[in-house]
Amino acid sequence: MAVIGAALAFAANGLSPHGLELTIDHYPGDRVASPTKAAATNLTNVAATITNSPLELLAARLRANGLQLAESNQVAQFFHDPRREQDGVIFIDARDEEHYRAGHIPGAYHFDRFHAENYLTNVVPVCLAAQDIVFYCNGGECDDSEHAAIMLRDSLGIPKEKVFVYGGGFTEWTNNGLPYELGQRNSGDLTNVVKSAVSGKVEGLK
Amino acid sequence: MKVTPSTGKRRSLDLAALLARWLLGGLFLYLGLSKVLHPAEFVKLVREELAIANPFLSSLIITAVPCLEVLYGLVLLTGIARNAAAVVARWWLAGVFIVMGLHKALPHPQVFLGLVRQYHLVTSPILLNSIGAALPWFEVFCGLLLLAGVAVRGAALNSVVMLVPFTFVVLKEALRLAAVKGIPFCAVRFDCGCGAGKVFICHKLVENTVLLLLSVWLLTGRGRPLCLRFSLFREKRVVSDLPAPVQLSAS
Repeated sequence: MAVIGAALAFAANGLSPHGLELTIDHYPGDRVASPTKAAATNLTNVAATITNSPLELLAARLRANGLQLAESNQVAQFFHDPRREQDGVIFIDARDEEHYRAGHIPGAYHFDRFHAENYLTNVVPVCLAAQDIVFYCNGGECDDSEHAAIMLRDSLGIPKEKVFVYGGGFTEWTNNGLPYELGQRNSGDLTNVVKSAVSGKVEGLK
Repeated sequence: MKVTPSTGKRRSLDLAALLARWLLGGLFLYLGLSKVLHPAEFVKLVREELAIANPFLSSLIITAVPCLEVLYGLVLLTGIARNAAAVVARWWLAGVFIVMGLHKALPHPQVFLGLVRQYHLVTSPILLNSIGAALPWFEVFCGLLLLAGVAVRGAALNSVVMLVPFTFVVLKEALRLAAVKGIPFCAVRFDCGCGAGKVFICHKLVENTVLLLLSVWLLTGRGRPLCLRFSLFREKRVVSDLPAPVQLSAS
C-alpha cells in the first residue's frame, strides 16, 4: 500500500501544475558549502578556497553563486551612504517575520523567501531601482540571505555587481552596537542608538 | 491451538485502552478550549495559512471546530457511543491529512521543500525533492483512504510511520532553537512544515500526540462502520475459531 501510495504521490506531483521538478537542485548553495566541493568545480580556486577562515569560506561560497560578500566595514559604509535616503542603497532582511519585528537594520525592507508572494509588491520596485542591495539574515550558518539574493537577482535580472550579502548578518550588526529598528519598517522605534557612533545620522530616519 | 490471553493480561490491556481514551479525550478538550480561550492563532491559521477568504465559511470553521473538539473530548472521556466516536476519529484524521497535505502541495510546494530542508535530513537534492514532492500527496492519499474507509489499518499504519519520525525531528529542532535563542521550550515557535504555518512547539506536540493516538486506535481495528472496504484483502478467519476438522483414518 505504501508503494502504491508513493507511486500515486509522485504521479500527482507530476500532474500538478505546481509540481516540484525532481531533477533540479533548488538549493545550489548547499552543494558548494564545503571547500572540497567548491575546489572540485573550479580547480583554479583551490588555493583560495581551502582555508580555515570561515569568512573566506563564506566568500568562496558566495563567489561560486555569483554573489559578493559585504563585511562589517563595507556594510557600515552602505548604511551611511547618502543614497540610502532615496533607496539608492537598500538593505533587505531575509529572515522570517518574527525575527524582523524583533529587530532589523533601520530602514531595511523585509523579504521572507518562504512567503515571497507577500513581499514582492514592496521589494521588487526598490530592487529594480537600487544601485546597491545588501541582503542579510542572522549570520553564522544562516543562508537565507544568499537564497533570497539569488532568487531576486535571477527572477528580476538584477546585475550581480549590485548584489551583496552581509556575512556577519544581524547578529554581528547588533554585536557591533549598531542601531536597530523594532516592528515595522520605518517605525521609528530604534534601539542601541545611544551605544552607536552613528546615532545622529539614524535619527534622520524617523 | 487456541491461545487466550490471561485474565491479568486482558485487564492490563483494558486499563491501557481506558487510559489512552482518557488521555485522548483530555487532549481534545485541551485543543478545543485553547482555541476558545486563545483564538488568535486558530483564526490566523484559518484565514491566513489556509487562506479561507469567505467570511461565512471561515467564521463557521473558527466557531465550530473548537466546539466539536470539546464535545468529542467529552464523548471520549465518558466512553459513550464508542463505535461512532471511532468513525469520527477516522474522519477527523482523514480531514487533517487531506487539508494539510493539500496545503503543502498547493500552490507553493517549494515552501514545503524549504521547510523539509531546515531539518537537514538528507543531503542529496533528488532525495530532498522526492520528499518535498511526494510526502504531501502521500498524506492526501492516506487521508482519502481513511475518509472512504478503504484499507483503514494500512492507512493508519502509514500515518503512524509518518508521524513518529516527524514528531521526533520537530522535537529535535525545537530543542535546538530553544538552546540557541535561550528561551523556554514552550516559547519556541516555528514553521515545522506541518502545513499550519508557525506554531508553538508544545501545542504542536499535543496535536501530534492526538493524531498518533487516533492512528493507533484505528490500527487496532476500530472505525469499521461506514467503511467501503475496511480491509483491502479478504480477512482470514482465525483457524482456532473454526470447528476442528474431522480426522479421517486410513482405515
